[in-house]
Amino acid sequence: MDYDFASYLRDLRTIGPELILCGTILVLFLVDLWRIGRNRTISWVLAPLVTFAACYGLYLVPATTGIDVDLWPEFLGLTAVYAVVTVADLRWRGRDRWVPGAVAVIGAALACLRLWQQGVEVFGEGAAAFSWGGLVRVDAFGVLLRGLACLTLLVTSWFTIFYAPMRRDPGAKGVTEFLACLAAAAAGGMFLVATENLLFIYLSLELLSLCSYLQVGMLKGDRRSSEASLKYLIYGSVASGFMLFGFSLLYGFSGELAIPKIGQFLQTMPRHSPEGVLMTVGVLLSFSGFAYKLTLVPFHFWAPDVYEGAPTPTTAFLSVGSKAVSFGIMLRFLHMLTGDIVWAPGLVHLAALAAVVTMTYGNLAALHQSNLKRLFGYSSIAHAGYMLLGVVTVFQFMEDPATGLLREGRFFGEGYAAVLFYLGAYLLMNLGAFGAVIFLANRTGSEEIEDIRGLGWKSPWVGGAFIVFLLSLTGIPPTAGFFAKWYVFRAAIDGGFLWLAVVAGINTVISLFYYFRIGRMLFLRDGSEAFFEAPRAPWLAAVLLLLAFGTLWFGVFPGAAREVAAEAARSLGW
Amino acid sequence: MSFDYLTIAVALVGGILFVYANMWILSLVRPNKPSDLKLSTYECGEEAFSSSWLRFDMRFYTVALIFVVFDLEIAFLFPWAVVYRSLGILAFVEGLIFVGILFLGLFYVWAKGDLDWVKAFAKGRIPEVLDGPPSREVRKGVFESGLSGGPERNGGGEEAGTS
Amino acid sequence: MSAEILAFLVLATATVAGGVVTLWSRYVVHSAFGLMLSLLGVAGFYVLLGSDFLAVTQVVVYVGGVVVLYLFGVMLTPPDREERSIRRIAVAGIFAVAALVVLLKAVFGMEGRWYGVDPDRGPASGGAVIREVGNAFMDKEAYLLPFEIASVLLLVALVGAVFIARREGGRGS
Repeated sequence: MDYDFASYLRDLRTIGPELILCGTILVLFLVDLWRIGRNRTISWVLAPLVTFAACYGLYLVPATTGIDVDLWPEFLGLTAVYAVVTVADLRWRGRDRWVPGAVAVIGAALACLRLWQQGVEVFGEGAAAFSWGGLVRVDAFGVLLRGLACLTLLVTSWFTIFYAPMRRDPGAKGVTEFLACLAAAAAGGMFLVATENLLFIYLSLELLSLCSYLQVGMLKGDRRSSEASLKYLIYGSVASGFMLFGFSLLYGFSGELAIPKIGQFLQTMPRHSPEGVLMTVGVLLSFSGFAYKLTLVPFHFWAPDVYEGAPTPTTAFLSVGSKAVSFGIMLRFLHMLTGDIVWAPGLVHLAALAAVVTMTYGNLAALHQSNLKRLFGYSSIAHAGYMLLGVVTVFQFMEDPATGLLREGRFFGEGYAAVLFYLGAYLLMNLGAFGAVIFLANRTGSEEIEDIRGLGWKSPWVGGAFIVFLLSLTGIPPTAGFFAKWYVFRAAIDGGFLWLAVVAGINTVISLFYYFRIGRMLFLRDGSEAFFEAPRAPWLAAVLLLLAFGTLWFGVFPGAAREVAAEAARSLGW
Repeated sequence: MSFDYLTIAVALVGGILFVYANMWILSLVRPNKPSDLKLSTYECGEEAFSSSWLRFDMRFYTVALIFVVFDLEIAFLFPWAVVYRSLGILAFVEGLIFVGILFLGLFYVWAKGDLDWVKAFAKGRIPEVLDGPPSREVRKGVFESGLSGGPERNGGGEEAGTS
Repeated sequence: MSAEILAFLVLATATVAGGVVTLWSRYVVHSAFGLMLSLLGVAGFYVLLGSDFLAVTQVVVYVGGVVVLYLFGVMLTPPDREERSIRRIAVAGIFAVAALVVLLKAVFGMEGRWYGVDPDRGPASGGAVIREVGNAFMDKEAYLLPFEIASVLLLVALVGAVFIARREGGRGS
């Protein structure tokens, strides 16, 4: 068999960001191992040797094959990070917590950069490109969602550096392991939205899930964390088992692993035939797996406990990054059914029902929470319900006046675009909210709402940013959250689901109460004085301000982002 | 179907039959006079004083975990090992990348001391037990610090670095 | 042909019996051994289907690895003989029976229509499956990427799980 190096390198390029993340994981472990043995002579030899070998290898391949590839800068960058960090670590011993954090942040930033380049190439191109024999699909939709996951990783890695329970004595608290799991989860999520192949979907979903379970349990010594991890693992395994059974039915009948081909097969299938019944079971079971990740209501049990018990950066990642990619794969799955007149209406009503129940439950349960993270857990359930509104309209089918038969509606893209915009806005505001929780918890040593009393006056900048995030989460202009809700509601109304939009509107009013409660507590005058004099974290505050700025920016100028979302939705192809 | 597996089935059935047939035959010929003492659990002549359900040390689990991961690696490498020669150098490299990534995991558990069964002994931490007959208390202490926890050592440099 | 059916019946009995023991036994260790029996039966099914590689993997990974891990996990935890709740069993039973009815009805309703597979192809000859799997793993146009990603998954799983299983206060404390 003769090899075509150029095709290998071309395919490698398409998954460049994920490769960088995998490289980041390896570098994290290498740095950690190096730090263990840094007093031994061998590490003095090994560190330069590894660096040199990697650089030489990277130089050698293009030199010998004569192919110009621009994948190497990133790997060169990572190798350089490895070298610099190991040497700097030797020089400044006290700065332990920065070392793994720096590696992860740089890795995530490089991946984001690469995704940006890929986005520039892909947007405006229209047609999707395939690589790895059709396993990886490169389109604007995928790139956008991968970008969301990657940005989440970047921000949450940054948060991790400042997260107090992992801050003191980072060696014992496993910052390296934590960041590696975070990066691996992000890589899994990015693969998840980059593929249409059931096998690869399952593998990347497992990478995402497994690393999530691990992260949740990494606050050692905290019983809530261990309990949350166990609950997440058990519920998650059951959900993933159901999903796998659904996949096996889909594969077993269609003989295909690629989603579009399964979709074609579905359309030839009479619905009430035995095969049709089993395929329905397969589709529903697959969706139950995604619904679990999305915390839609019958599958939400785990969310509050996990969100409360997990380290806060993990909670942020689960509520934003994990949710974004799960929505992504769900939309891809739904897209498989779009051409199908027989299947979709039933699913639409199921989704509408799930949306109503999910947001109502999330909001009502959030009303009387005392723990900030738990409250945001329930609020995250509610937001999944709002986003589902856009998914419902995706499926709008209309009666053809001429024949009286159902035909495809014209609102497809709108619902998708609304969901994508919502996900982007949710990234800004929810990551910001969790960052603020980290910042405030560092000062009070607790995550109870009561304990942030009056803290807004102590840290006015962060307090102000937190207020922006809360406004945005409620959906009050001029914030990104307002337009996110606006687009989703409008899609629902245009799609003939006026009642759904009304229910969502009532829910928004309910959510006002608990978001307002946090804001009021933050700026109460008679603040308690029981603060730790925590070390100042200006760099954390800076990121929060940046996120708040983004929230406001997209609340004033949503047009461009909306266009990007619409184009990404179009790139799914119809 | 194929009879390749018939031998396995025969061996399996034969093995099971061998055990149970022997037990059955012996039950026919042996005398059967049970008493309380005979029926009690034999614990090296000691009287059993508690349940045999004891809690194992966490380290068993860690080692089992490492074992399962590398067990899975075998499942992946087995097909690779069958075909790589016919596919040439690149397939070999692809396999090497797979192994190399997992090797990092092996180095990790190795360097962190998760492979040392009794960490305290492995690093020569408790010399006093080794000279002279240990008292009951010392033995107990060693047992606890060695088998069910105690300070773990993960490389000399780390402690110097973080403390 | 009848030998095959006989083998299938034996294996099916073993698999189901193992499953029943797993669910029904009051001792967790017995459950684990029941699971082992069940998984061995499944390995037998793979053999019957002519997929020797899957059978070997099933035995090596599940019977040899995962069940052993379960046994260690069981021995780590204090014995806790949970009382069975009749109500919970009844609810689960209703769901199980309903699912079974739907599946059976559908399977028998299909009357031997097959999709995506050729039932007349017959089982693969010895060693062919493993070569096929190996070639698919190594082929860039097939499953090379999942193969390599699996190693990253295994690495992170190993490190994370060992980290969590490690005792409190690891190094430096």
